[in-house]
Amino acid sequence: MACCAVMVCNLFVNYLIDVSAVKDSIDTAQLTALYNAQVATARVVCAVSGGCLVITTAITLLFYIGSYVDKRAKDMGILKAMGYTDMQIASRFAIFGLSVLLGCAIGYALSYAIMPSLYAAQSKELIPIDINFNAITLLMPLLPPIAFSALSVAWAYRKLKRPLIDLIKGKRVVKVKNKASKRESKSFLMRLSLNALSGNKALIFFMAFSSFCFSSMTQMSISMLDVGKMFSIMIMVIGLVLALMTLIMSLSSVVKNHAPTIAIMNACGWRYSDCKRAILGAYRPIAWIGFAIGSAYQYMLLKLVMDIAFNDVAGMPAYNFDLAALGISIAAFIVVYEIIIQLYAIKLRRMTLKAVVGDNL
Amino acid sequence: MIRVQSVSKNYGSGSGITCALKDVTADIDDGSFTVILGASGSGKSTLLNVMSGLERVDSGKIIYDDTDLTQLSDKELTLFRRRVVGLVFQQYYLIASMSVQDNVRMGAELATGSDYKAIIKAIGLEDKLNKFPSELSGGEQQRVAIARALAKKPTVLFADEPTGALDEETGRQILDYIDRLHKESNLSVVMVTHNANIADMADKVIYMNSGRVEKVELRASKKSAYEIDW
Repeated sequence: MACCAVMVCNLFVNYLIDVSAVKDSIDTAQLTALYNAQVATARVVCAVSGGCLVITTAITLLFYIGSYVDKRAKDMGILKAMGYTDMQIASRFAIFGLSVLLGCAIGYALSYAIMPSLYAAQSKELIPIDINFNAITLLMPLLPPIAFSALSVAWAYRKLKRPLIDLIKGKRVVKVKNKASKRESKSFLMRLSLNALSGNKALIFFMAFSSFCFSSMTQMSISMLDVGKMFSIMIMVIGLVLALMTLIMSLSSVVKNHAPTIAIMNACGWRYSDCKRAILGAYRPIAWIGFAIGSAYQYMLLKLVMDIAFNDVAGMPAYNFDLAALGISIAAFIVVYEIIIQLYAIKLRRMTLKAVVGDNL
Repeated sequence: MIRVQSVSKNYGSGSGITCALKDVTADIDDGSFTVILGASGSGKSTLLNVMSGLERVDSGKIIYDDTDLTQLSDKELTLFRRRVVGLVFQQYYLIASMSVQDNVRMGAELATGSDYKAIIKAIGLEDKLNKFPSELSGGEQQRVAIARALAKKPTVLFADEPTGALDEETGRQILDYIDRLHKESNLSVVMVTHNANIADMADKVIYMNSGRVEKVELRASKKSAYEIDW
C-alpha cells in the first residue's frame, strides 16, 4: 500500500512541479488554455487519488500496526516477565518502519519508471516537459517509514502497560456494558450480531471505509473517463486495491476476533451458516452505508474540484451525478462483496474447537 | 448406548505423527456415570472428543444407538451435537463479551421449550444474569458452562476435566451438581479426569494409557462428591 501511495503521489506531484516550471514558455492563447486544463486535471488527480490514497494507506497501516502488535502480545508479556523494560521491548517494533521504507522506495522508483509515459501522454498537444528530479519529493519515501516506526513503538509501549498476566495469557480487554436487559427480547443470534458490532467500533469504520472507497473511486473513475483514460484507470485500480485490501483486513479481523465464539458455537451445535449470518452478516448494512456515503462524497468532491479547477477553462459543462456509474458500481460491489463474504464463510468452517484452542482441548 | 469400536486417531504426519488413540474399544451405557481416567497424554481427551463428535476418527466406528458418527457429514455431525451432546470444558469457553444469560441462551435456543432462566436459577446464579464471565469466579463460570450445556437438553454430558481449574471446595460443588443432574434426570455423564479420586463417583471407569484402554472397571458402590478424597 505504501508502494502504491508513494508511486501515485510522486508521479503527479513531480509532474505538477515540472509542468508549473514551463508556464513561462507558453505564449499562445490556445496553448495557455490547454496548459490550464492539463494543470487542472493533474490537480484533480493529485487531490482525489493521491489524497485519498495517502489517507487510506495511513489508516490501513495503523490498523495493521495494531494487529501486528496485538498478535505478539504474548511474546511481549513473556519478555517483560523475564525482565526486559517496556522501552526495550517496544523499541524492537521500530523495525515495522523498514517494510514501509521498502514499499515507499519501490513506489518511488516505480514512479520514475512510469513517469516518461505520463509526461509523453500529457505533452502530446503541449510543449515537451522534461522530467526533473525534485528533491522535495524525497520526503515521500522518507517521512512515512519514520512516522510508522514511531507509531509502532508507541503502540507497543501502550500495549505493554496492560497487566502482565493478561499479556501472557493473551487475554483481551472486553468492555463490559450492561445492556443485556434491554436486549433480552432479541434472539441469541441477533444479540451476537449487535455484540459483534459494538465490540469493535474500529471495524465498523473500516468496513464502511472499504465500501466507501469502492463506491467513490469506481464511480469517480467511470465519471472521469472523458477527462483522461489513464487517470480513470489509475483511480479505478487504486480504488479497487484500497477497497479490497481494507475489506479483507477487516473481515480477517472480524473472523479472528470471533474465532473462539464460532468454535464454541459449532461445538454446541450451531451451524456455520448461523455463525456467518450473525457475525459476518452484521456488517452488511454497514458496508451499504459506506457505499452510500462514498457515492455522495465522490459526487460532491468531483463537482467541487471541477468547479474550482476548471473555473477558468471555457466551455466546460456543469458536472452532474452519473447514474450509469452508480449502477455499474452497485452491481460490481454486490458481486465482489458477496464473493469475498463467501470465501470467509469457507474460512469459518475450519474453525473447529480443536483448531482454535489447539492443545488446550 | 455409545459403542466405540476399534477407534484409532493420529495427529500430525510423516515422522512427526502422534498416535493419540490405538484401537480403542469401549461402551458407555445409557444413564451411566463414566469416568475416563489417565495421565496427561494418555488419549483420554481425544477419546472424549471423538465420542462427542468434536473430532473425527482415522479408523473404527462410534455408534450411538443406530447412528454411526463416522458416517455423518460435517453438517449432520453438527446437528447430532446439537441434539445429543452437552459439553463442559476445563477452560469453560464462555463467550467473554456476552452476559451469563446470553451464554446460557446460546444453548437454550438450540432446543425447543428450554427455560434458560430456570436453569440459571437451578445453578444458583439468578442474581448474576447480567454479569459477564470476567466478573465471575472460576466456579461460577463453570456453573454457567454447565448451564449452557444443559440448556439444550442433551442426552449425554461430556465433561473434560471440569474441576481441573478449580479449588477443592468449588470442585466438589461442581461434581455434586453434575452428580445430582445425572441422578435426577437420568443424564449420561462421561467425564475425563486425571484425578483418580473422582473415579469413586462413577459406575464405570475406563483407564487410558498411551492411547489404549488399559482396563475397564465397573463400580458397584459409588461415593458422593463430598465423600471422595481430593
